[in-house]
Amino acid sequence: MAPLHGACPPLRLPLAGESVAAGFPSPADDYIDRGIDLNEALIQHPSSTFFLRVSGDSMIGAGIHDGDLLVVDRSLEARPGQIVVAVLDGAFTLKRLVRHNNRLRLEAANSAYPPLELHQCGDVQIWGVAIHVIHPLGRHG
Amino acid sequence: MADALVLIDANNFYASCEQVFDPALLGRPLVVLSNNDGCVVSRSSEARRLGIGMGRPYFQIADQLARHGVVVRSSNYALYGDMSQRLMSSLEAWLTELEVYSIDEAFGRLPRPRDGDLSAWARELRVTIRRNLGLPIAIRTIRTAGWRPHRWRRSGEWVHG
Repeated sequence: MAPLHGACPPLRLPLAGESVAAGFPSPADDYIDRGIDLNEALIQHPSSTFFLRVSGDSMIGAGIHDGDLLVVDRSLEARPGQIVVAVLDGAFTLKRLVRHNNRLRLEAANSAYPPLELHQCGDVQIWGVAIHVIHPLGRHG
Repeated sequence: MADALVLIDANNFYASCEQVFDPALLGRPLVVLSNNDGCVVSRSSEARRLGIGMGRPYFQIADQLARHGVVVRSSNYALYGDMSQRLMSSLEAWLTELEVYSIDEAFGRLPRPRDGDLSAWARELRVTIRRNLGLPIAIRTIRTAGWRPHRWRRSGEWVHG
């Protein structure tokens, strides 16, 4: 968990084309004359957005790996289908909120972890909604 | 109609900040110590109920804290500063004027509702701050006539305790 500093100046980098064809980027794509600032692109509500470091492999099937950085917005209302940070028995857990047989439960994206039925858990609170994951592709430097 | 003036403060601010990032501390007696773990500068409600005094030197009450199973934390001012900034910038959207008074207190001005009742506004603000930041806050109105800053604690009227 790290504080989010709102005072950083925006870093606008040009957007290369509208999309990259997975496999081969189209050489015809020119740089489009507008910039993207990552803070702006990833964070809608700075005062209620927090970074969390992922630990564990229970959400690996959703592309969230051990050590990834998670961007979590607390101001959003958690809806079924979203990946949420929940507090269960005094500890954080990252799971997908799912409606199943008309009841809410927390599901891992890894078959090694059974779903947690909310009505069977004691005290469960939704801490925030995960909106992005920042995952490094290989080691750098 | 005249504007309403309010004083907003975060409850047990340092202890509450610790609880946001360590949910194991929720509902537990917790104290935060000043620089170099000198004395108690913040207490969770549970620690208050145990009668642990504000400002008490840690070395004098270390045994008492251990006996009651009180969690003891060194202060983390970078964290409290960050949460304070988040709190104050969140409050700005709810007020026409905001005067930050300390790390966990601010005065605010807003148009008084037609019926003069601020309780619905205050309840919504409290719920929003609790959800967005995890912090409990208190809001009280300030009577402007004859109001003197050093007396607000007595003249302040709770809007929503």
